Amino acid sequence: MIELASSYIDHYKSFSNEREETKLPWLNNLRQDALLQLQKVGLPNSHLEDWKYTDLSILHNHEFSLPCHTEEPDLSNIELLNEDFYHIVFVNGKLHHIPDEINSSFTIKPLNQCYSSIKNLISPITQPSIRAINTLFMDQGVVIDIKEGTILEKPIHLVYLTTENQIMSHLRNVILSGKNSQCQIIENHIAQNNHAYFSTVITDIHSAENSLTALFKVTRESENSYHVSQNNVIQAANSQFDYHSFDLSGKLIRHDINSELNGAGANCNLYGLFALDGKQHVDTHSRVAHNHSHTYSNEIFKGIADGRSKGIFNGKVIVKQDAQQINAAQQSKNILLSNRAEIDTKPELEIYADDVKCSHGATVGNLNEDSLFYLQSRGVDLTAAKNMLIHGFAKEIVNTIDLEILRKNINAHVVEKLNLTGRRAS
Amino acid sequence: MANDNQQLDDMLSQEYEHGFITDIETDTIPPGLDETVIGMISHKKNEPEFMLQWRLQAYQHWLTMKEPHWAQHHFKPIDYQEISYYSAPKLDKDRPKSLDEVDPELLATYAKLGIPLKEQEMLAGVAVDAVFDSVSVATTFKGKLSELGIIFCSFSEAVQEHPELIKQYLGTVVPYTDNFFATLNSAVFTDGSFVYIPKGVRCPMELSTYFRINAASTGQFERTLIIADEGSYVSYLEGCTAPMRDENQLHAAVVELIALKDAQIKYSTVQNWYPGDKDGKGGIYNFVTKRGDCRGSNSKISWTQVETGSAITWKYPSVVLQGDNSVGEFYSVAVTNNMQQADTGTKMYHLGNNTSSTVISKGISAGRSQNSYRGLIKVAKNAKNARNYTQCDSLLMGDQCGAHTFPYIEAKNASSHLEHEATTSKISEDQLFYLLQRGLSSEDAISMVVNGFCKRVLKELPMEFAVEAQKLLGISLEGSIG
Repeated sequence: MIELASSYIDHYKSFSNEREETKLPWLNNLRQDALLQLQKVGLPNSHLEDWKYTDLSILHNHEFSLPCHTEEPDLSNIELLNEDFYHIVFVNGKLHHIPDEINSSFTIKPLNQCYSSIKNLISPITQPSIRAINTLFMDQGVVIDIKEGTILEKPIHLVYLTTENQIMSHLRNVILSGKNSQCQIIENHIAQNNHAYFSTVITDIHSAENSLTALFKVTRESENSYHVSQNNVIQAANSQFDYHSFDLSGKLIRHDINSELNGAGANCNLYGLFALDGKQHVDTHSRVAHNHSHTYSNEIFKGIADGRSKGIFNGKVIVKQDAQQINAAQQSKNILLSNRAEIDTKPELEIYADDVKCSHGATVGNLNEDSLFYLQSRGVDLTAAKNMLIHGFAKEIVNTIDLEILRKNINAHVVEKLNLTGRRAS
Repeated sequence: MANDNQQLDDMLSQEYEHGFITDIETDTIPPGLDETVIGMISHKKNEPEFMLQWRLQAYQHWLTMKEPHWAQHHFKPIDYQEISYYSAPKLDKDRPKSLDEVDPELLATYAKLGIPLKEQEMLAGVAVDAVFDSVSVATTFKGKLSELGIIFCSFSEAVQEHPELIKQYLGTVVPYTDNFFATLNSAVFTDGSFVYIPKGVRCPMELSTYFRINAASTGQFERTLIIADEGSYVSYLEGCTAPMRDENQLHAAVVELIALKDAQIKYSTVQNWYPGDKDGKGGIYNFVTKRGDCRGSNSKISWTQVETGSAITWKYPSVVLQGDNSVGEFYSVAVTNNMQQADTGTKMYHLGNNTSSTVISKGISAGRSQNSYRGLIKVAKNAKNARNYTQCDSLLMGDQCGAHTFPYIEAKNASSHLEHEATTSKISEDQLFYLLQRGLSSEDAISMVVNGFCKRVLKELPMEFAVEAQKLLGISLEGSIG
């Protein structure tokens, strides 16, 4: 393992030489912990139960390096950039644009300028995950601070654009949702070429009482890219967190969503959709911890796998002892369109309290023959019939987006992706 | 290699000289595990050479393995050198002299289950000189069975009388490399049951280990092998509802079922070993490997289990659906109370075409116990039209217990159709209120709700068993809600 991770460790050495932040001993300590873990276990691999189906040690076959300088990117083709949103743009893992005029009710600042204010919010590295490597190279990212009582009228739009080959980027964002605040955040991961690159994005969210945070994540990375993300959400009483994820392209995508429901009335809704073909590999792990009585969670994850792709879902609901009056529902529904594709799903429950209502369901199947026959008997041809059923299946997740512009945009991409699948399937 | 074997053989035969002679005197091998001990076991059983070789291979492999700890279990490390791997039935002087010396709580349970006095004595391990009814029952049954060509005997007998069957089938479902406990079992197993149902025969009665419990004392390391030849049917019962007292803490049994073309095997278990006291002291560690192989087309294997005993249960009765149109079933009720820990479930491997499997698992946890369902449904790439339905429900009683579900689903074929659903909740207050209001005592009300919850599984049990199992559920949960 040690030698496998060695290229990353070398990169880290040159990276840390360029840093000046030696003034922050706590950060250095954190990086040392990360380094130790990386030296000990390397990148997460299939020996770990949580990484059973996704082995990041394949990344050791690549020589990814940190990007040095970046040419002026062409942002003209990027969707939604013309909308009236607060735009934040990262290009090749470097902050490129940040809104200038920020009103007093909320602030957006580059991560490396406000380490001291978020010191206590950066969680230590406990178990093998990508947090280690991300912490090691943590430098770029933003801290979004939404002050008490602020209701953002415009969504915040984060664009992560990659244009270079053989690079790695490690981003860290922190979102602070103040008391009684409301915000919508869109994370858009896109690429301009079919480059191979490796990116990790960690967005940690701290939801104060009564706040509402919605996160929309659209992953349309290049066909050769490796994208690993993690969201840790800490929710206080009566806070709500909504997560909507759409995985459309990228060679390997892995998401970890961990939500800690720490106060009565805290509520989290997780929705995800992946549509895969070719040799894509998408793995979503969710973990919802009900640490307090009267907390609620709801999860619906849907997947469509065609070609030789592999879709994985692992949902875990944990109810701590003494956390009573819990409602938790979990659903994983999947369609397999090809005999060479694979779906692995595991909705887990770990319950240590008794006054709870927890349920989960999982299905894996193909398109319903009866429905296809019905549509064909009405004169719809087979391809169109298949498309219709697949779109209908995907629609449930697309419709969870209440931001109309975004819903239309995502719907168009989903339809485009699935149409292709449908045509190939017939 | 040949040289190694030679040395090994020399060493083994050397050890036999005194090892074997002293053994005749005491009939117990001192604690510890090495190749000599395995040689002694094999020798004592007068086994053919291939059995010894198989055991030794297993032992060699076992040395390379680590004790598994992935399950939701907490237990102190087991010292495998502290165990005596062969001990003859206990000497009379060590046993309780009469029922008066037996734990009164145990007796109270027997009384509730309505077990006859003679059987109570046997179950509690009281030294009885006159062997009672069950031997004669067993002999009459044996006569009837052998007329049909059915072989039903202890494993040791089968090794002597039907070595060709053993050689052909042993370890073909659970190979000696399978897992830590199965490998240990392969190296040191002392006895168990063997069943062979010839072609086209429908076994006229439920075969049960209960009937011949005294004939071969069920050891720590049991091994059961059941073969249903083409077109045959057998229903086999293991265990009994009465709590069994046993001094051995570690139990690592292996059960292999083989169903050939058109054959059907129904395997029912009621396990109620000593679960330890209220604080979790003592109790049996039950690490069992059970697997059935639907080898021929249209074959069917069905597991039904009621697990109420043992301090730790680690058990995943599985079915390999190799034959086309084969069917696998798993019905389970697992009840844990006090400090018990159960991690149980099933694995269904869909390999043939048009295979289907049903999994119904009901977990009930009370006290401070932990109860987990862990299952795997796997559809291979070439298994067309696989069908699975899984339902696993958990019922929680008390705020100190835990109920967990870990269902793995791995599908590699687009024509598969897999469904999984699970719920976890506490016993419904509305239902309890309704029953109380109708004049039922709260214990009876709980027992009724629990029985209703488990109905789907209990009705799979053979009738006599089902009645006892129902009573058992009530007793296991006694005092869990106050």
